[in-house]
Amino acid sequence: MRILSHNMLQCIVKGCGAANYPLRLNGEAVHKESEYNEDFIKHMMSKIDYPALYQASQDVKIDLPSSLPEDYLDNEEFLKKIHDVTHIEEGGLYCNNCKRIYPIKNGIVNMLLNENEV
Amino acid sequence: MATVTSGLEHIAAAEIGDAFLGSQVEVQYDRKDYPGRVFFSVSNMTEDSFSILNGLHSVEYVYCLIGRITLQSCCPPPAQPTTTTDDTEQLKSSLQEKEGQEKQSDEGEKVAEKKEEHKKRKKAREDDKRRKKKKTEVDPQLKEKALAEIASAVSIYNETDWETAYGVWKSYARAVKGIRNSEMLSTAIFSVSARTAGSHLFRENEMGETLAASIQTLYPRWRQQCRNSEMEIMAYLRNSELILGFTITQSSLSMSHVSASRDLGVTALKPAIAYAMLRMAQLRPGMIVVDPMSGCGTIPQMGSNIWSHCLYFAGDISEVAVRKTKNNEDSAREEKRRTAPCDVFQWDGTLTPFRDNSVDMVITDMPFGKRIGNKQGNTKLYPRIFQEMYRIVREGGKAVVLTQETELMQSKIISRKTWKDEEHMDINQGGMKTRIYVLSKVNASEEVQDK
Repeated sequence: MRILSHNMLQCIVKGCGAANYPLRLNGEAVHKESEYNEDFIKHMMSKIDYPALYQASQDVKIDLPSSLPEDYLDNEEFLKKIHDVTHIEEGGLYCNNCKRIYPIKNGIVNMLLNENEV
Repeated sequence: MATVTSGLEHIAAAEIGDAFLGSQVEVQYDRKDYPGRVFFSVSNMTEDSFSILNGLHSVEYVYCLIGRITLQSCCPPPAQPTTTTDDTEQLKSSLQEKEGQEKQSDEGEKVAEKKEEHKKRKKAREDDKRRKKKKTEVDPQLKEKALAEIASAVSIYNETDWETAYGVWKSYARAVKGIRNSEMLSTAIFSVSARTAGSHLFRENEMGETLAASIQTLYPRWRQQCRNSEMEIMAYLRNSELILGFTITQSSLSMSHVSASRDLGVTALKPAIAYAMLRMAQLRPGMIVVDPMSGCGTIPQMGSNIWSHCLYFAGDISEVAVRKTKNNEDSAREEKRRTAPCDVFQWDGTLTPFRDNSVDMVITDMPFGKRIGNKQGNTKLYPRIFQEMYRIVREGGKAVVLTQETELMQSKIISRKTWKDEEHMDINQGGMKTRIYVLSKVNASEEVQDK
């Protein structure tokens, strides 16, 4: 899973409450080569919740500025850094609120719940 | 001419137009008269044109046409009125009489009557069969005349028509298959692939044989051979129009983009249809695209290859399916065919982890209730799936879905409060009628205005 994707995800356990976002990350960041697409990154950054991304990057020890640079749309160095924010292949997402863990194995995130959680 | 999935002619036409942008290209299709076919002409074909052709996603086979002509004598003459109708009328009225009598007669007689009736019905059926057989028997003279016209059709085109088309075939063979000029034999081994649509005085294979024989007369150095032929000459007779051409592509183009290493499930979607859905979604940079029932990942993975400026999520409830998706993702990466990644999740399509209003586009192939699920289950599943989609899609967001459940969609899903049917398209998916819907989320304020 790309660490960027973490930004759109929330805990789905029934009754977890309003604090079901953002999830926390666990695991080792793996770099995967992919084409740098400036258009994509720029559009993505305009909708990303930066504090949540920053926290996720802290969780897996990736170095990002603690706040979104004001000139982020023209800051190529920063955009490339965002592009290089990589993947979690083994590890998990967990909810700070209800402590539910969603395991990531072989790059696949398991979001299936048990019956008592639905 | 190109063959395409019928119903998706305009998608293919648009893709061809886009692909040859800059060079002069003329694209035509007629969904009613020529379903599943797109005709196009490109001026100045070069080697580049062939690689553009090979890059098309919505096209199956490409043919270089020699020409199209209308024939006079290949269709059967209009059916003459026969006594058939009278006979059946008679039978019907006699049966009715019987029924009338039956009411009056007692039990024992009834059984006997029924037996007789049964016999009579059986006889009627047999008669019918015999009559049908008779109908298919064609006047041999008419048939001969029709086939003679087919044979002469070959030489109606002048030498330049043949040579031009043959030339295109040769340069494709050179450009794509890497066959050198010296290897091009003067005795080309050819086969004729004959297809007909409509009713004709002869069978497909008879037409093929006749054509092959007359082509051989025209080109004495060519040799006909059914198997392992070097080139295929396509003949398509639709009603009274005969289209002749060289088959340019060796295998289906849309399938050629699917790597041999790709791991497919039982309900794997035809790539041309996945392409059409993605194209209809009109994806723009930075969009978040989700397939909540992605199976082996055909749609989002094709999306991430072609429209790499979006963020893709593939998920399915089946562990087998998600493992296949991941394998496909990894092999695509190894073969360096992936330009943007696609994240893989195992989830329940009715309970996805997205935040409310966070997704721009949902694109998915819904269960039809044939190979997966059943019709009854669908009436419960569909509303729940669409409810979840409604939650995650942002205002103004869309859902592009492929389904066979059109009645269910009209009665339960599309409404003024939830999803608006922006556009839909009926397609013929291997004999099965399916439909692609482009639905837009009706947002709350719009709904108030409606009232």
